[in-house]
Amino acid sequence: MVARRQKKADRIKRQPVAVPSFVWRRRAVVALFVMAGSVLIWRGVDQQVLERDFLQSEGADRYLERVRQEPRRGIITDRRGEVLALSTPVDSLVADPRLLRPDAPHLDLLAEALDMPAKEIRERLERYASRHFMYLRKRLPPGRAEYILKVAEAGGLEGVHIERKHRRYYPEGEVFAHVLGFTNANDQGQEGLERAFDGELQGEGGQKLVLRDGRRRVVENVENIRSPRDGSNLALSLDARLQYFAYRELKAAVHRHRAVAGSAVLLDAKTGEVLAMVNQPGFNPNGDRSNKGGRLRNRALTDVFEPGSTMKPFVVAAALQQQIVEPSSFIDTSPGRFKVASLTVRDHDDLGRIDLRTLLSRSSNVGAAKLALSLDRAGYWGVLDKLGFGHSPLTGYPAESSGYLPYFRDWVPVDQATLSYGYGLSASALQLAGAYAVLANDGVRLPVSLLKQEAVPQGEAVLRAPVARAVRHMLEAVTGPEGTAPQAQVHGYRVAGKTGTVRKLDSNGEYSEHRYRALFAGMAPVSDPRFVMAVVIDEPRGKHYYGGLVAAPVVSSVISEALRLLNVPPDGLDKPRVRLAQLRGVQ
Amino acid sequence: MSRANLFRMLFLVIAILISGVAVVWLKNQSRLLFVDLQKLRAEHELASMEWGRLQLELANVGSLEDVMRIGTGRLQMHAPGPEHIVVID
Repeated sequence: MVARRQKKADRIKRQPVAVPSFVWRRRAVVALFVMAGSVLIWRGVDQQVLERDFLQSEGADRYLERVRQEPRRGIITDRRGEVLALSTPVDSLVADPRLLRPDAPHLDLLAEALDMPAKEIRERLERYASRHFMYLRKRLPPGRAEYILKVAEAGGLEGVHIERKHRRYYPEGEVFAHVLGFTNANDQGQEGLERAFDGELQGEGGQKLVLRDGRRRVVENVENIRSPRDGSNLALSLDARLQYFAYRELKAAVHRHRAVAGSAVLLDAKTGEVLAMVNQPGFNPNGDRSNKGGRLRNRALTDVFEPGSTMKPFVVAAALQQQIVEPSSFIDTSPGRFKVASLTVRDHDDLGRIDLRTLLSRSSNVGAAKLALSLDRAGYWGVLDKLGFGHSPLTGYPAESSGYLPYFRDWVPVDQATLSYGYGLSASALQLAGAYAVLANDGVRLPVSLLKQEAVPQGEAVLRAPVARAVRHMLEAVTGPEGTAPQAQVHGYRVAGKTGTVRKLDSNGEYSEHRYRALFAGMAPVSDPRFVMAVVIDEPRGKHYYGGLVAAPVVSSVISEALRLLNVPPDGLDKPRVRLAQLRGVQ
Repeated sequence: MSRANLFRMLFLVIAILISGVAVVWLKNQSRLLFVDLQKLRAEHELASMEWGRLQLELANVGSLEDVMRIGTGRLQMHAPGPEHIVVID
């Protein structure tokens, strides 16, 4: 056994060792490796270079994304809480043309739901085929958009989704258009108070992390990064009812007298709040917002003009304040002409010797000029300056005008005379109303405000109370039968005011012979004024152009509504009031 | 290592483990709450959308222009003239 094994071992040893050649095997293996490597490299190139766009977009569809959380823009209300501007979400239906192909089946269903011809949708999908985003229909009511989306999904259509944005609505339309202004497509203030208080109204956006799916729909809200802070609400000082009446009356007057433009401002004499501020021409903030004919302008605040005869009460007030005259003083205006240096001041008629009351009620230029020249220049300027002429009203409204009042050291006598009847300075309708409010508020000037005031602000005494009262009572004669504006009367109430009919400047710098501005500024009730109103009608081209005939009726009708709505007791009833006891027959 | 140090070490290790778990748990909790918040926010959005719609409807129905038109037109109303007003003290 052992010997056999030994023999076998010897035989093996003796055999020559034949080493097999593995060359082909080696080559095969190397070739295999090279091929595998090439495939890998090719795949790399393929994915990195050739298929890159597709893969990247696929990847982008599946990642976490930081999304802005929209804050809600604040509401604007009137002083009684009526909503004037409101942002509400509106949905737009958008499509991803890479997913929604023009040849997709059931496109007709979508077209029908959208109420659009299928051909048009196909054409647009083809045109935007390389884009990621296309509007199918903008600004749909929320329910409608969801319904259409359901229709699309039921038809197996991909790449349709809803984009939600906030849109601002102005339910009062053109009535509040100038004061409020409007916002742009991103709900940012563009004009008016929307722009002035944009920061407060806007609030602050938040951020959140979301997980999106292949159709870019949010699958899951993952994490809150920062909560949004909604914008704060704004309560205006304006009263929607009074604003409506003012707008209606101004529009009617501008239309009736075929005027180019017009403005009206109604102030609360006790608080300095603006109760109504309207302009013509107007625009609808929910619709076309182009600025044709300057119709976007809030003329009551931005446009300045020479106030003309409406300045006369202030020369009388300054004279009384300086104690140069007394309420019972007389001025000789005959012969109805008066020469100051190179200028001749004229009256319509020779009024003769008149008192201050008649000076105002008959609007005597000669009387006003004579009075002005008797005043101390610095004192006269000081009164006009403190009344707010030449100063911005500081309501915060964008582009509000400060007007122009020349400094008294630059005055020559002609300036001093013309200022008294309202030429050589300029003011806005709001400034004019503000100055009259000083007469109404017993000589105390309150800052005007477009925002609701919680308390009466600190005022500044401009005139002594007896002076303001005396001028007020003189101005009552203007609305009397002998005055220039009986049309400003309101039944049951005493109304005071002053008319103005101002020549406009032509483009050559000369005063026009036939282009006028009709003004009226007034207040009621005279015994304790509650409302002050200024109306400007620019270039009336009808039969009348006098302030007393064109502007005064607007004041009368708006103030009568205001007095009625705010329950102001009448102070001008001619017959004695009925006592309640008499009425009921009891003592 | 002394016995006291060993205990201290053990305590710290346990504390780290607990705080680690707490971080994960709180993170999850905050996510869950955020999901709830998001749901409520969506509800709020729906409600305020409805509120806005109703406000606009109210403004439309109650606009002074319409009230005046219906009052003077269909209902034949008018403001009483001065001769029809009796003022009582």
